[in-house]
Order: sequence, then C-alpha cells, then structure tokens
Amino acid sequence: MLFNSIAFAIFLPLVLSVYFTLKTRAQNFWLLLASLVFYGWWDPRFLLLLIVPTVIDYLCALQIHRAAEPKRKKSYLLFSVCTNLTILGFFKYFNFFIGSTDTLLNAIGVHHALPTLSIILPVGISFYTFHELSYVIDVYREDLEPVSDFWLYVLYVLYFPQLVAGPIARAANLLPQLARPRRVNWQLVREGLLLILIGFFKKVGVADALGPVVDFRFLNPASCSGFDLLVALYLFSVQIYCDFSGYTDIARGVSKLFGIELLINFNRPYFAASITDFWHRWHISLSTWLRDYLYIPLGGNRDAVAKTYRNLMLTMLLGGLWHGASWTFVVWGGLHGLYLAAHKFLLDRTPIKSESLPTSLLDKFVLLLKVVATFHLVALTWIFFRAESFGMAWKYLYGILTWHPATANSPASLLGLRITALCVGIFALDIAQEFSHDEVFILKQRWFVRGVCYASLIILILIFGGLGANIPFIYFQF
Amino acid sequence: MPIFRSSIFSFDTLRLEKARPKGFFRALALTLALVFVAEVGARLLVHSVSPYCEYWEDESGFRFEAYRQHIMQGAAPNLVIIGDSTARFGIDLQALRTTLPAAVDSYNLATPANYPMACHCTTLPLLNEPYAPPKVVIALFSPYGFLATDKAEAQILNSPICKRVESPFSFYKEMRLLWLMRVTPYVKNSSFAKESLKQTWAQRGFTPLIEATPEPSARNPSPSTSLATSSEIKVEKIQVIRDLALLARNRNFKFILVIPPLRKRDKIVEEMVERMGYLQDELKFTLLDFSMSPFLSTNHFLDGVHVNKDGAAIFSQELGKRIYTQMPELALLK
Repeated sequence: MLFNSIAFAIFLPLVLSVYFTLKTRAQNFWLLLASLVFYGWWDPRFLLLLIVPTVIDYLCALQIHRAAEPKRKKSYLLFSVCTNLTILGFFKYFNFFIGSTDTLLNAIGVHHALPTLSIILPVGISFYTFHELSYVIDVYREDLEPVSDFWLYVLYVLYFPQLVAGPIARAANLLPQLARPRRVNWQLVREGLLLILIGFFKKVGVADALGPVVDFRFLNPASCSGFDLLVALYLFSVQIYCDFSGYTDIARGVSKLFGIELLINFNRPYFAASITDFWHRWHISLSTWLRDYLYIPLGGNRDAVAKTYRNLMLTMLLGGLWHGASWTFVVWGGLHGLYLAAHKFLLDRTPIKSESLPTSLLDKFVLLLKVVATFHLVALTWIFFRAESFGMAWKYLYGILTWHPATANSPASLLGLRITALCVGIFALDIAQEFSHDEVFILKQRWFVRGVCYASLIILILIFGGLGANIPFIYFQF
Repeated sequence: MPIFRSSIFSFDTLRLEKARPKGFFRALALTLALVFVAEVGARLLVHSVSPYCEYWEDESGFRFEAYRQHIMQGAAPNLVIIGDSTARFGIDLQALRTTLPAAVDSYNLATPANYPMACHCTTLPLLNEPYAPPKVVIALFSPYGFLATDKAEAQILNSPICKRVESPFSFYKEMRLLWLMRVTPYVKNSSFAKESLKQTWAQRGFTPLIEATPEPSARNPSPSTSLATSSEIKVEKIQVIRDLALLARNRNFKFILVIPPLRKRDKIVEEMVERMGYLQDELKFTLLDFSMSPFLSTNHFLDGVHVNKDGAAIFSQELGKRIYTQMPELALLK
C-alpha cells in the first residue's frame, strides 16, 4: 500500500479509530494485523518471506542470549546473518552476480550464457533485513536484552510506517515504545499531522511533479542541451530528497499518531558544509547502521590511517550496493567513499577550529561556498545513482561537460512557473527548518501564520503537484 | 453495570482532554477559508473548459479544448487532422495549405501519444454528435501504436479524459469538489500558461516543431531493429479505425487513413497496410500509404517514424496533392 493512495487514506483513519479504543497488548495485535494488510496489499505471497527470517531471528536472538559459550553465541549469530543475507542476496543480487559473472567470462573469452531467473524483488527487503540484523547483532553484543514476547518482536519488524522504506529501526529505540502503553496528546497529534502534510508536499507536490521531466532527460540525454541536463540534475537532486524524506516525514507523522516516535532520517542534507556533514544529515538511519555494524567492526578509525581509508571505502561501496543490484550504485557509493576519504585527509592536515557559528561576513561567505561545493559533489554522484546504465551516465555527464546547445529536437525548457514555484516552496521550507533547528517550526507561529502555511502547502500540492501520477517512492525498489 | 476487567478495550491512549493549543481551530478555519478562496478562483479560471481539461499532457488539453470551444459554436473546419505524434509532427499545416484551395480551413487535432485507443477517447467524441462534423478527416497513426499496450500507453489510458469516455460515470471524477487540480494545465508550464484557447485555435492546433517533445522511445522503434511479430497487432486497436470509418459514413464526412512516412518498412508495417487494405475494401474509406516515400531521405527523419521539420513540409505538400487528387470537389468550397 502506498502512503499516497486512496487506499491508505481509508486505511489509516480506520486503523487509528480502532487503535484508540484498545489496551496496549490488543493495540499491538491490531497494529500487527494492520501491518500485514499494509504489506500484503502489494503481494500477500511475500508475507511468508517476511515471516520466515523473522521467526529465525527471534529464535537465534534468544539462543544467543541463553548460550554460555562465545563460540555457540557466534554460531547462532552467523546462522541468523547468513539466513538474512542469503534471502537478500537471492532476491536482490542473484541476477546481478550472474550477469556480472557472464560479462567477466565473456571478457576472458568464455562464451557461455549463464541462466538468469525472473525474480520479483520484494518491496522493502533491504530495509527489513537491516531491521532484523541490527536486533540480532545488538543482542549478540549484549547491548540489548532479547524480547521474550514473540508477537512484540514480529511487530518490531513489521510495524507498517517504517516497514518498506525506513527509517531503519533500531530495536533499542522501537521495542521499548512498543512494549509500554502509549499516550497520544495534542502535541503528538499536531506534530504528526504537520509532518504528514509536509511529507505529502515533498512527495506528491514536489517529487512526483519533477519525476517525469527528470526521467525524460535521463532517458534521452543526447536530445537535451547541456544547460537542460544540468538543471535536470539539480532537479533530480531535489526529487530524490523530496521523495525519500517525504516518505520518512509521512512515516514519522503517522507513527506519532500512534504515539510511537521513529528515528529522524533527514536533517536538511543539502545544507551540509562538507561530505561528512552530508552523511550526518542524509538517510541518517542507514549511515548510522553502516557505521555501527560495518565501519566500526571493520576497525573504524582505530587502526592505521590506510586502514581507515580502506574501511571508509568498503563501507560506502557496500552502502552503494545496498541501494541496488547494479554497478552504477557501486560507483555512487565508491564516489562517496572517495569524497569521505578526501575530506578526512584534508581534516587531518588542517588545524582544528572551534565549532562556533560563523559570525563575520567572510566566514558566512566561506560557509556558503562550502555548502554549494558539497551540493555539487553530491549532485555529480546522483548521475550514477539515477542513470539506467553506465553508458547512459557517461552520455549524461558528457552532455553537461560539452555544454551543447539546444537542437530542434530538444524538449521545452525546464524552468517553467510550476517547477520554479515548487523549488522555491521546498527551499523556503528547508531554510526555515534549518534556521529554526526545528522541523515543526510552523507549530510555534501565530495562528494566522500557521493557517497561511498549511493552506499554501495544500494549494501548492493541488495546483502544481503530481497528484494522480501515483508514482511509487523511489526507495521502494531498494 | 458489570465491569469487564479482562476487556481488551481501553480509551487511555488518546489524551486530548487538556486545553487545546491556542488558535488550533482558528488556524484550521483560516486554512479552509484560503483553500476555498483558491478553489473559487480556480473555478472562475477553468469554467469555460471544465470538466474536460484533464489530459495526459497540457498541450493536448489546449489543442482539443480549443477545437471543442470552436465547434460548439456550430462550425467545424473543413479539414481535420487526427492521430498521434506522426500526425502532430509530420503535418505542416502551412505547407499543406499551399497545395489546397485557399477556402479549405484546417485544424491539426493530433497530439503525441494519442494512440488508437486514446484517440477513441479524445478525438472520436469531437467528431460525433452534438458537434458539427468536418468535411474531411485525415488520420495518421504510427503502425507501432497498434501493438500491445505498454506502460506508457496504459498511463495515458488511465488519464481522466480517457476514463471519462470509457466509464461515463465515476464517483471520484464527477463528485470531486476540488477544481484546483484542474487549473494545473493553465499554470504548469510557462509556455502554455501564456497561451489561451483562442490563440491555440488561431494557430489551428499547430505548434512549432521546436517545442515538440518526442514520445517515449519504446514507441519509436527503429524499424530495422524491430523484432515484433504479426501476432502483436491488437484487434481492438484496429477496431478504432473501423469505428472512425463507420462514424464517417454516419456523419457524412470523408475519412482518409494515411500510413505515415517511415524510415524503413518492416513486417509490422506490411501487415498493417495489408489489414488496412482489407478494411478499406469493406468500409470504403481512402487509404494513402506513404510508408515508402521516395521524396524523403533518411535526413528527413528524427527517428524511425517521425519526420523533422523539413520532412514535414515536403510530406505535407505531397499529402495535400494526393488529397486534392482524391477530392477535386474541395475546389468548390467557399
């Protein structure tokens, strides 16, 4: 079920109205049922795929906790991790590895077409696999007590607002909230509803409106001018941010209505002044997951400098591969790894400055330059993220670099009233959130300012947005 | 009253008994009032064309609705061109007019992605009652538009205008209160925002090729690489041509089906021409096959099925000559 669908508009009030009449344990069963319906709406067959590793992980976590010998604990952990990664690997990466092996064999002169399977990628498999892995690993590290209540654990994995596209839940944050009675007060209702409105503005208003024009340019880079391709790249940067952070906002807003707080996933990433700062603001639940369960176990920055760079690169390459089974995603991750390594290299050779905010005009200007430079570095990587193949990515990059003019076959200019209005809208919203350090700053305004803000968001969605396009969230494919 | 201590019910979760946040309802009322004002503005803006202005593309909306507005006054142009992008980009009305008598008034009603099934929803109603019929209707479709419905075409057939025709009553579409969404074509794209229906009509549905956006590449296969087989041609799409021919007979206008110029003729095109030939024999319309056009070179094509601006001018003149040969009575028009 999509958040931006009529079905969800009926589903949510229905679930909420029953939820508010139940006791905690009954609420959990009700939420579990709702989550099964939410996921099964897409394809009920894949519920089984979701349930099997959930049962295995629940049992493994209990066994890890009970086992006295470290070796035994480790074997349960390995079993759980292998089960999860095998399922993920088969559904997401089987054809990718077969295709890559085939290409490699062809390159060395062995011409034998390996068979591929037509596998449907279950929605959100990368997300719920990480939910489950974090739980088992936390139990293994003794950072967390395993839950004895099986149904509570199943709800932790299946909790519908965060099931298919995150934020990637951490058991330490979510499980206690699911276990104790929830209270929903005015503050949570207001924050929840505002986050839902902002999420819809980002997703339906901005991302769905930009999607078709950006898609056309990425599919036909040769027929567009260099300027057009550059603008489309900026617009894709906005689109993917709005699409994903919009989903997160809706998920967090919906969850607040249930009295459950999900982790913050985005913190105005395009205002980052460095690439390291960017990863503290973009898809925070993934970057912290990769840090805690991959980068630090690899050694983090505790060993020699060369190893730190290696760990950074490995983490980002695997982070790229997590996004999709394609070498373009690996390159995307690799570029970010390179940026992070380069930034670390520069930081290690620069005297440490205090973290105070810039006061002089020059400092502010330097900060602005850093923000603009970081944005452009990130935007460059989006070419590989969005392009269907390497060939298309190179064509796109070549189109920008050669800056060829518009031809008779070029599409109309992107800079119309609609796109400008939406970009100004999202920029104004983000800048206000950034300067107020508050994502729900609107709630602190006078009533007439709030009214104007709400109405502006609604009117922008209705007039300029991509209503009716029913474009799935980009991150669903991951 | 018995107390069920083991009940699963409880009303403890929702705690809204404390004082409401200040101005909660006033902010809500202001929001509704502002949306209402915007809605009134939207209704004033689109009242002339609603409820028809929900096409898959803004330009199509202007093209079709300008035509509808004009023919609602009782007079249709003598010659109307219908079809998909092959007609939209392939017909240069100015070049066509040079070969026809000056009194022949023409309008290009074709629009990109207006494949046979979409044409059935968008164009046929404009040729039918209660609107005045034109004298001649020229239809051009890419032969590849008669293949199986792909994702892009499915989206087009899912557009409100197509749904409206396919299912005359839809609660969601008919009862929806917000007309704000219908303003989108008027403000979405700056080039069309400035263009009124009157201007569109004045240009006779012709938009300079420079602004053209080709259809998705899936619909523009290079004939040399097409691997489609004959079984892929869909009968329900052929049926649209039959419906057009029958409508022409009923409404007494001349129907000319044109196979557009193609860079290369493949099996699909040959089968299409053959099938249309059978239909022509049965329903007695005129079929003009330009799929092999010696007057055009490969330089005159944008891709496998679309001619460029120069190609459009040459093809339109050739088409005009053939039409005039077929219909010398056009000279009698005043």
